[in-house]
Amino acid sequence: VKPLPIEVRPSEAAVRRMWSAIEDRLERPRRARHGFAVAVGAVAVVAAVAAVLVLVRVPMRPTPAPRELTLGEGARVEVLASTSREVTVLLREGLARFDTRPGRRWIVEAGRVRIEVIETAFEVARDGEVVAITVERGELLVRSPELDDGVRRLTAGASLTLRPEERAVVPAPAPPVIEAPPPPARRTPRKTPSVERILADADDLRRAGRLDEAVRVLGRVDATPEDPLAGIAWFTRARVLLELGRDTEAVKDLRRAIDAGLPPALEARARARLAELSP
Amino acid sequence: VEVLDLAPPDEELVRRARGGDGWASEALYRRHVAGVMRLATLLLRRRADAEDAVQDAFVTALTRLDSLRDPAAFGGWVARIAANCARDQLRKRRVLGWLGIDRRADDAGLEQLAASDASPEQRAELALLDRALAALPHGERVAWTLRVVEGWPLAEIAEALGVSLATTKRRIAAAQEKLP
Repeated sequence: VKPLPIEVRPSEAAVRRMWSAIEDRLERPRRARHGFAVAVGAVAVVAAVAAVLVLVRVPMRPTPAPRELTLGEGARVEVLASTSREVTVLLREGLARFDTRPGRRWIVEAGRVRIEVIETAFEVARDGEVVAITVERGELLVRSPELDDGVRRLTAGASLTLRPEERAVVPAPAPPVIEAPPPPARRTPRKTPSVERILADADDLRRAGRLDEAVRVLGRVDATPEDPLAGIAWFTRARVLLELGRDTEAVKDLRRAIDAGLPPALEARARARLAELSP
Repeated sequence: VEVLDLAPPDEELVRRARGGDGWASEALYRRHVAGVMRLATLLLRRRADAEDAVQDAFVTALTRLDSLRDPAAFGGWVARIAANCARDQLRKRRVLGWLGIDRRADDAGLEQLAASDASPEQRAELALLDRALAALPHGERVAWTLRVVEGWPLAEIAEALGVSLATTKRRIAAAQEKLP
């Protein structure tokens, strides 16, 4: 039977929404074990606060809400999902400072880097695929394929810089420094987008399920064949074409990727795929 | 850029998820959610119900990882759990229908799922098939969809639906006779 011409692909928002619900349900049994103790504690705390308010008549003044997110000049941030319990933002470029409150989980996506926090203050600066993180207080988790085991816990005073194609550089904990926003000159648009930028844009499109557009964007690498990432871009394009069932075009791109140069592991993978696809 | 290629295989992710690594659990989910969502949508014909089935399936799978004998087979395993969840939903829907309190319309039939590049003829064929499928009993429709659209082996369909191999074959044959 030939495949039905249908498309069922959940949106990124739906994928995140479902995962959030799944995580809640996975954590519920763990929370339930402590439920009784927490309930007793909560009742005691409420009773104590009520007693203080009644006896001392503490004036109730609204306290100004702290700003949880501050952007440096030229920074671009996109809110991917936001609920009362969780916020997910994408830092496209520039410097952003986060000062989060308890009870609301923040996830910051920055290319190949993902930062997860509950309550902390930290900065993230992104320039293409280079991401630098500095923690002021609290602690957070940084996840990235560039890290050993894919994850690192950062505590107050620590900083971490991640660059593609090399291991993370973790200097000794240093006092937190709030850097000035990057000078405008850094944001001067290029006439031809770098392959790094092309890959980042294509990655966004792929995650949004817009595979045809990702193929078109990746094709721009033709204008910068000397770029050291050109081979990876062709390889990525071949993968997307394979996902779309456009095998003939994928074969061409796999050959281009090998010609342009690939890391050994990827080259072996590209050659294996070529062998599978070649008649 | 290399994340997809250097991603650990399912065996490794299952091992890490069993050890409490939340990232590994999420990685398994993200790797297989599209296939499970497609399956649930095809079986349930309603997007909201499909999302519920996907959640049920992954919660069940991730809490019962220890019972998975072959960690490399996580994808097929969670899909069978999803088919089972979908079957349970369809049973509830049938009861609600009898009681006259299920008034929601299907919003993800084959016609509504037509690919953006499907031709008018293909769309017409999908509409025809969709109407015929909608008229089938749930059991026949699910078995036929798993076999013909998704290409599952008969034994896996029987296991996922909790029926015998003979019943599975009978349902598929009955559906086939009624379809265009």
